[in-house]
Amino acid sequence: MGNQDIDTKEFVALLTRYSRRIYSFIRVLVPNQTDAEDLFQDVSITLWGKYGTFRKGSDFRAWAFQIAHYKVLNFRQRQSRLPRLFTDDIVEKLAGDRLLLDDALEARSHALADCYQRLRLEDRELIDLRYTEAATVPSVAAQTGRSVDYVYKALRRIHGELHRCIDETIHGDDPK
Amino acid sequence: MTYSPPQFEELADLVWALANDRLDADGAAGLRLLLESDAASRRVYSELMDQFALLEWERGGGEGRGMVGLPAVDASIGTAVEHPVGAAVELPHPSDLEPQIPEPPLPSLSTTHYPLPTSDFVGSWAFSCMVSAVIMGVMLLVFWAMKVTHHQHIAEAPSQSAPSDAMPEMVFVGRITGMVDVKWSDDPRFLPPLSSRAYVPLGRKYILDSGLLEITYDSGAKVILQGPCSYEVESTAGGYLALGKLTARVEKERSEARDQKSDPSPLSPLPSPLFSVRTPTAVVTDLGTEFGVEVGHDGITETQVFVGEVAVVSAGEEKTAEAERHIVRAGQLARVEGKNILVTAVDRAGASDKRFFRALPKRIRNPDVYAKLVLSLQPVAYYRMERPRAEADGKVVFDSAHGMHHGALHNESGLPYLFGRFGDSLNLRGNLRGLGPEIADYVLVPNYPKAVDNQLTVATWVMLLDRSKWNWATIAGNWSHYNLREQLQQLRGQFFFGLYGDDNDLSVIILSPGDRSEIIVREGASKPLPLGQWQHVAFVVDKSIVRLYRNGVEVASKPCDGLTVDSPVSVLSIGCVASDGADATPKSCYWRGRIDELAIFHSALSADAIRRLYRCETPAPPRRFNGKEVTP
Repeated sequence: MGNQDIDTKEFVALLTRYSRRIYSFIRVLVPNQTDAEDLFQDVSITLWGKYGTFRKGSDFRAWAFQIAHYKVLNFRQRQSRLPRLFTDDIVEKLAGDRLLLDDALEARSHALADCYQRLRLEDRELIDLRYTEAATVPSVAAQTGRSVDYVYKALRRIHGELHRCIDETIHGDDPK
Repeated sequence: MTYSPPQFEELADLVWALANDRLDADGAAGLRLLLESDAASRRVYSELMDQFALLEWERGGGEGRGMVGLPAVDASIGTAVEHPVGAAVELPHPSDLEPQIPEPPLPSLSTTHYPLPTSDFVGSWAFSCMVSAVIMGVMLLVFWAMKVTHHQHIAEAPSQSAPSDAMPEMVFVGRITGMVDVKWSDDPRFLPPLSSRAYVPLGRKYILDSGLLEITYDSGAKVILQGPCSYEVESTAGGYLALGKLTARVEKERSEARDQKSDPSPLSPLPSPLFSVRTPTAVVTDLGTEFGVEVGHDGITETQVFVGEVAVVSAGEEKTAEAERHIVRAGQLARVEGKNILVTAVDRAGASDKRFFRALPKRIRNPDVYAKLVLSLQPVAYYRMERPRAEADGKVVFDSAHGMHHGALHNESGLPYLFGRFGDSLNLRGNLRGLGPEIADYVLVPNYPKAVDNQLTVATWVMLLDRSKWNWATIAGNWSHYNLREQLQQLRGQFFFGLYGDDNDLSVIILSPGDRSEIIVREGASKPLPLGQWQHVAFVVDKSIVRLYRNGVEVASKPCDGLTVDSPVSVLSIGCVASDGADATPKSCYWRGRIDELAIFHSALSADAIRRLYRCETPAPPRRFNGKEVTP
C-alpha cells in the first residue's frame, strides 16, 4: 500500500505539471472544444489506469502524448461516418509537429500572460467574458448588447494582437 | 514558407472560423491545403490553437475565476445527463500500442453495473476510496470548466483475478447541473469541484459555506444543496446529509420506471433502489415526491414534503422490520429527535414554509431582461448607462423610466462608456488633474424629482477603480458641497451616496427633516469596496430607518425620522458632488470607476427586492411535476 501511495503522489505531480500541455496537444488535433475536453478526460483516466506501466524517470510528456494521440485516432475512427475536416495525413503531421513544438509553445504560453495584461481594458473584458464563463460568441454578444458579428470580429482581432505580441516578446524584431 | 502578415491574417481567419464552427466548405478546403503542404502553416495553426487552449484552460473555470465580486455564474440548469447504459471505457488494444506501453492485465468488461464491491474486498476498497479521493481532487483540479464525458465504469462482480493493488476506478452517479453563489468550505481537507458541470463520483463530499448547488443523479433525481451544508454522495440513489438543508425531487413516473428497470445485485450492500437521504438521526426515503430535509447542529432532522410522500424512520432502524415507519405527506413536516418522530402540518404563514429552495433561481444575463426587472419595481428615474446610438446624443444620459429625466454627461475626452454589469456602463475617470471641475467626468440631471414622502431607494451597480484616501467619492447625490464661508450645511440636499471621508467606506448620508442634522450610515472602514469588481450597492429610507445594502445584504442601518423633502439642491449628480442651487457646478468628490443601472425609487424597496436586483433574478416560473403545474 505504501508503494501505491507514492505512485499516487508521483502521478498527481506529473499530471498536474503536464495536463495543460496534454490538453493543448489534443486541442490541436481535435478543433472542436467539447470533443477535446471529453478526450482530455478520457486520456487522464487512461493515464491513471496505465500509470503502473509507466517507466519511472522516462519522459512522461511523450508517453502521455502517445496515449493522447492513440485516443484521438480512436475517436476519429468512431466518427468515421461523419464528414471529417482533417485527413489522417494532416493529423499525423500535426501530431508529429506538435511534440516537436511543445517547448516553443510553452514559452509562448508564458508570454501570453504578459500580453494579456497589455490588452486594452475593453479587450481583456471581452476575453474574460468569452473564456472565463466558457461562453459562446452569441452568449457574449447577448450579454454585452453587441451583435454576434461584432463580438466575433473583435475576438478575432484580439487573438491576432495576442499572437503578434507573443511573437514580439519571444522573437523581438525578428521576422517570421 | 516564411509567413507574411497577410498570409498570417488569412490563416488566422480560417482557424478562428474553425474554432467557432463557422468554417464553410471553401474555408475547410483552403485550410486543409495549407496544413497538408506547409510546415510553417502547421506551426502557425498549432500556435493559434494552443493560444485558444491556454485561454480555455487558464481563464475557464468555476465560480470566481476572472470575475471576482460578481454574483457567481450559475450553469444552465439542465436535465440529467443521458448516457448509454452499460457504456464502457475504451481501452487500447495491445496490438495498437507501441511496445514500450504494454497493456496491463485488466478485468474483462461486462454490461452489469455494480456500484460497490462485495464485502470480500472491503479492505482494498477502503484504501481505494482514499486514493480515489486524492486522485479525484487532482482530476478536478485539471478539469475546470470542462464538460466531462460520462464514463460509467462497468465492472463485473470483483473476481479473484483483480490485483489488490490495481488502480481504483471511479464510479460516477450524476453530475452538477447548477451553482448559485456557492462559497465552498475552507476546510483544507476538502477540495471543491472547479467545474460547474463536473461529474459526481460515488463517495464525493460537498461542503458549502453558502449558496446553492444542484446535483442531478443519473436516476433523474435532483438534489439542491443549500449552504451551509455537508453532503456526501453515498450511492447511486441518495446520500448522507450531515448538516444543513437540501431539497430532493424524484418524480413518481421516473421512480416507477426506475423500479421496473433496476436489477440490483444480490451482492450489493444497497438496501433499496429508492432514492433516500440519510442524516445523523433519520433516513428519508422517497416514494415519488419532492421534499426538503434540514439537519441542525444538534443532529435533529426535519423533513418537509412538498409533493407526494416520503417514509421516515430513525437512523439505524431502516433495516429493522419492526421499525416505526412514518409516512409524511405533502403539507406535512416530520421532526426526528433521537428515536422520536413527530409529524405535524406545515405552518404556511411561518418561516418553515419558505426555508427550502425548490429550484435554482434563473439568472438574468440579458441587459433588456434586467431592465425589465428594474422597471417592474417602478423607478422614478432609471439610468441604464447604454451608449447612445446617435452621435448627436453622445452627451445625453437617458432616463429609461417614464419621467424621462435625462442627464447631461460631462466627459473631457476618451471613452465615457465601457462594458458594464449589463450592456454598457458609465466610465468616470474623476477629476483627472485635480485642478478643477472643468476636466472631470460626471453627469448632472437637472430638475431631478426629489422624494416627497419620506421614502427613497437608490440602487446601482458600481465598479471602483481607484481609491483616494483624502477624498470622498460620489456615486450619486442630491447634495451640495459644504461651503464653510457661507455655512450652507442646512441646505445640503436629500442624500449623498458614495464613499465616506478618509476611510472611503460605503456610506449614505441624509438630513433629518427636523433639525437638519446629518444621519450617516456607514458600512465601516474594515470593509472597503474592492477595486475592479462589480458590486451592487443600495440604500433604502423608510420613514423611520435608513438601511445600507451591498450585494443584496444589509450591511448597516440607523434610525431616522424621514427625509428632508424641501431640498434646495435641484440637481441629481452622478459621479460628483455638485454645488447648491441652480448653478449646479460640480465641485468635488469624484467617482473613479464605473456606474451602471442606476435606479431611483420613491418607495422603500423590500430587502427581498434588493436581493433580487443583486441576484438578477426573475421569479421562478411554475413547474410541472408528475404532469401537474406546481408553484415553487
